[in-house]
Amino acid sequence: MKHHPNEKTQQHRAHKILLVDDEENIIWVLRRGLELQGFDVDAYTSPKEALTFFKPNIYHLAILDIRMPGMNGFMLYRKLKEQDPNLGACFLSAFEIHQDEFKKVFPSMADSVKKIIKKPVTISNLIKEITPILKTSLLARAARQGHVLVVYETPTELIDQSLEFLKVGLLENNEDIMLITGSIPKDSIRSKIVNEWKIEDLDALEASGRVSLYTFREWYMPDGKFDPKQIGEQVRKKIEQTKAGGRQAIRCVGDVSPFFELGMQEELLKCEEALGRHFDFPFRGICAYISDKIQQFDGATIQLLHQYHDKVVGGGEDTGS
Amino acid sequence: MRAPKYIQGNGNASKMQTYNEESRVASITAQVRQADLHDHNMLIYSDLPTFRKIYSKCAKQALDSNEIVILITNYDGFDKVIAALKHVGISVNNETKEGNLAILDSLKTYQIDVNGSVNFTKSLVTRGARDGKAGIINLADLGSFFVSERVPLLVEYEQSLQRKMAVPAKGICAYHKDDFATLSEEQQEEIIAAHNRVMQP
Repeated sequence: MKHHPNEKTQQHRAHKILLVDDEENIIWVLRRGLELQGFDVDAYTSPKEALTFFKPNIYHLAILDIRMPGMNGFMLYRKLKEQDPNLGACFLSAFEIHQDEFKKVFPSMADSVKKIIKKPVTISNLIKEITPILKTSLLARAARQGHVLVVYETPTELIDQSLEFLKVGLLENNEDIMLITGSIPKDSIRSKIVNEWKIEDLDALEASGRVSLYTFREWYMPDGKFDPKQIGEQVRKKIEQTKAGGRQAIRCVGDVSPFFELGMQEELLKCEEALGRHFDFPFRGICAYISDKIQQFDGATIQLLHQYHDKVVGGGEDTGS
Repeated sequence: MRAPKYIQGNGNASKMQTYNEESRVASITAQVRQADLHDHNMLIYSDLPTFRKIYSKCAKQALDSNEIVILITNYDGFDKVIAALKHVGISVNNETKEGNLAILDSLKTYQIDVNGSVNFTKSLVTRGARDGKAGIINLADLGSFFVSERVPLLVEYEQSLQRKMAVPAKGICAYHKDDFATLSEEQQEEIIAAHNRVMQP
């Protein structure tokens, strides 16, 4: 979807960024550029000061220079994460570094550093680079709230971001994970999980219920027809299985695109209404929409979707209802 | 073994404040100029703009004296280093092409192989002698040891060089004061003791 400049500014309106770089001119340029695009930026030239004034759960993203005297960007990030485990970050560097060199010099950070942005960087490129990390960070925060609606621009973005969100649940939070895929076959998802998460025993995880993969029809129409009561029963069974396994929560992503492709928008709304906002058990559910599909709904229906969800992220929205 | 000269303390600091920045930079560059081959010296700089002036002026006077210059940067990107060198009248392209000037990334020079800098300097010694060069100066920011959080390795490395280095070059190990302040007192003393002279603008 193409945005007017004002729409872009509006899109980033609610996004708060912590920017730390020891170079004042870099801070000045990036801060001004990000603010003109609608971001709310707190900027520091001293990592110690940034740490002193840091408040958890207010920033959607941290942009940190790696090489800063007194406290490097990775150390600062570790300290910030102690206070705010869901804080996402990307890093700035004036130097190129190859992946193998990075692993050798920073072995402990190799898995957690998602992005290093080479300085100097234009504002448009910076925003392009931080957008996926920002969305992951928004998801991590939103997911604590239960039933969340997320709007993605493309199916690729949907699946990449969803897997990132599920990976944290499985590997870091002792949660069961569940994915209801739309157009992407389950075997492709399995292949991504095995290769990108470095998981060797996926079959065992699926057998034990730690990882559950469903197609749209398997989950929503197991007997060939849509029945909200049956879906409710499936959710109940899933929760029982997770509780019995001693896990802390279920993290679930459902790609709702097939509802639109099959002309089942009314059924989708019934399903969203049935799920409602709150669950007895920690059930962190994301209803994943593609931007051009959700735009088929009129304003009143969108308003209803807001009411059915704890939070709406993306598509120009980042709102808790 | 004589004690290293280390300027520190409030008294000296307040006296130093009476100097203007240019004279402080000039004082450091003069000390670097006067250093002998094999000297393993140390510089604790207060901020990057000051360090930029020091390394560019030291490079300029060394190149004017027919020496080979190795600049190992950590906080300043290559573009900043090149701009600073050009600002003092160094023809960076020509000097680099002729092998008189090398600008290296501290992280890659020390953290892939801790002896990367020493080995590189050694490799230039033979060529320098063959080409009739007056000497080699290696001005290195050791900030990469702090970025990579390898302080014990830093102490070990500095001690391995000793106050008079085996390699016939002038060595200046530069530390940002905020990095140096993160070291324990014992580590600071060990590093200072490994150097022939400690300079602080």
